[in-house]
Amino acid sequence: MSRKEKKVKALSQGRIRWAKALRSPKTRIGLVISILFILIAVLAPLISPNDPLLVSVIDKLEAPGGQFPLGTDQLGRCILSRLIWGSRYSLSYSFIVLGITLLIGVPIGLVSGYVGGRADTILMRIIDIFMAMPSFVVALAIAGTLGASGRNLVLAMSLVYWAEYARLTRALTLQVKGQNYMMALKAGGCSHGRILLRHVLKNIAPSIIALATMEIGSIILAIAGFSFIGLGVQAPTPEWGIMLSDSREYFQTFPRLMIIPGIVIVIVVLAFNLVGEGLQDGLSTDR
Amino acid sequence: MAKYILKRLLAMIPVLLAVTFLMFFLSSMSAGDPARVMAEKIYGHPTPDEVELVRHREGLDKPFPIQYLNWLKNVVHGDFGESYSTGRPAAEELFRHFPETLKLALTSLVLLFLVAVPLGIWSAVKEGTAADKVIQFFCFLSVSMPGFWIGLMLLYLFGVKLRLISVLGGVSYSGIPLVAAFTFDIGYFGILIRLIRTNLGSVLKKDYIRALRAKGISPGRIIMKHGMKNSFMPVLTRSIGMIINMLCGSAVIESIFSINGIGKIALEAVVSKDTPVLQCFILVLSAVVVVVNLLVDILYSVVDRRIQL
Repeated sequence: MSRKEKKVKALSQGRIRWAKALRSPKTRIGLVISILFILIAVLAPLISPNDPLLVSVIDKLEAPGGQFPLGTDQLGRCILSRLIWGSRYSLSYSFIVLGITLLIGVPIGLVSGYVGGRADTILMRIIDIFMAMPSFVVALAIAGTLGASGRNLVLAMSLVYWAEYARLTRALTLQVKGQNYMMALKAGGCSHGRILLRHVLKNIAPSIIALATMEIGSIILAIAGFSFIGLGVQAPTPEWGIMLSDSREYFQTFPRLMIIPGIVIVIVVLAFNLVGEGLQDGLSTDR
Repeated sequence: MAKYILKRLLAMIPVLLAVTFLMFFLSSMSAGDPARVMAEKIYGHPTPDEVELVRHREGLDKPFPIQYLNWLKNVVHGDFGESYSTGRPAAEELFRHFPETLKLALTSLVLLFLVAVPLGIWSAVKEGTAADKVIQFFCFLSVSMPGFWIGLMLLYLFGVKLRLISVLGGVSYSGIPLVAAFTFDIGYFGILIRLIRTNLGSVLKKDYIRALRAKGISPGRIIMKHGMKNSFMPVLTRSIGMIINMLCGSAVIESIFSINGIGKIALEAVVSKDTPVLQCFILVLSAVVVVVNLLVDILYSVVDRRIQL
């Protein structure tokens, strides 16, 4: 089989896998809900019925209905509007964390696995150091020294999570590197950069994308959790973790303040996990 | 073996140095002036001269690398400095609260295994049946739930509605933090059950298991003696990661259930800018992580003779 034919076949197999992954009901349901939430986040200023930050003491702790479809919180702020704006913060911070970790982790893993030798040893040592730091401890250290804020939380989470992707990318790169066609590419005079980007990265991308999608859910949970204990986004920002944290003082008398944001978090995380699982089932090569 | 352990112990040093250096570097960049904080403790309203005096006495006027080395020298001698807020040694502050965290972690671990191991085995043995599907659905829910929210809901249910546990303290009247431990485990149930199912499932499909079955060995014995033994390693690795998280990341659960553990102390240290306590917490936990990882590797070679250290 000539090289050209082989390449065509590999491409079509990749397409088949993507098609299979996107057709599964899991992926579809997950995608619909995820995209819905992304739209809500983007259109927040247009669709939220009230100002999420407007404090109005006379309207405080009102039951759902009328001007406030989901009622108001302890400061008279509209809960629905806060949830809608909250999706902005939760989703954008998660995507930023994911983007940064991929941008740092994947290139380092690629180089480490492809170059090998001493560079690999040194990079792996560095990766080990970062893997040894529990994310909570780093978030604590950064919040304690630089102050607690959404931006610093993103910094702390990125600092820890990239190592995982670097390790995965390196392992996948080593797998691809060991295959015969790599030698053929080199013998054929293909440059290293071209091999890395066009052949290695393209081959390992599906596995990385599947893992990354699976991770969005847990990043959303982590951001809400850190904000909940005060290490992340700060009040009065309408963030879901903050809303839950605010609800604690009223949870004996007004449990709805804590139930509603919780349900929203669960739905979003479930949706992203569904997409992740669907992609994983479809894209994972049955090696 | 001894040589390997020694080598690994030596390799720990650069990791810990890197973590502490990073932490120190961040502290030096942060706003607040530790000399002023200390001077305020001594003089009440210190004059600029008094602040400078304290700064000089504490070595805070020295360049950053020297400060780091000084701190390191004290730490090697077991001195983490005094807590800014209580005035007691930082290490003592931390270790005084450690038993509460340990109790929570151990309870969570026992509960996790009591639930996940049987369900994982059941799911692997009955692969594809209705029972398996129900368990798989439970796993999916478990990894998608915000643990702290479930904690709040349970506190509402058991504390406010049923009055089985105290709303402050989260401890059932038997003294065991069962609800807190369950909250802690929520995300881990799914992970561990799936892991056991995948590994045990693949072992049970092997030819030698069929041979054992043909020989008439009881299913219980096959699963426990041959199946579990061979799917033990991945489960162990993952469990160790969970234990580390339980020791380091207990702050959320401790804060919901008002448990006075080290996580809560660390959170308070962040709020009050109590740097010595925070530094002690970070160093001790990083050391715990590194040591535990070493123990896992040693355990591997004990359990699986094929692994040579």
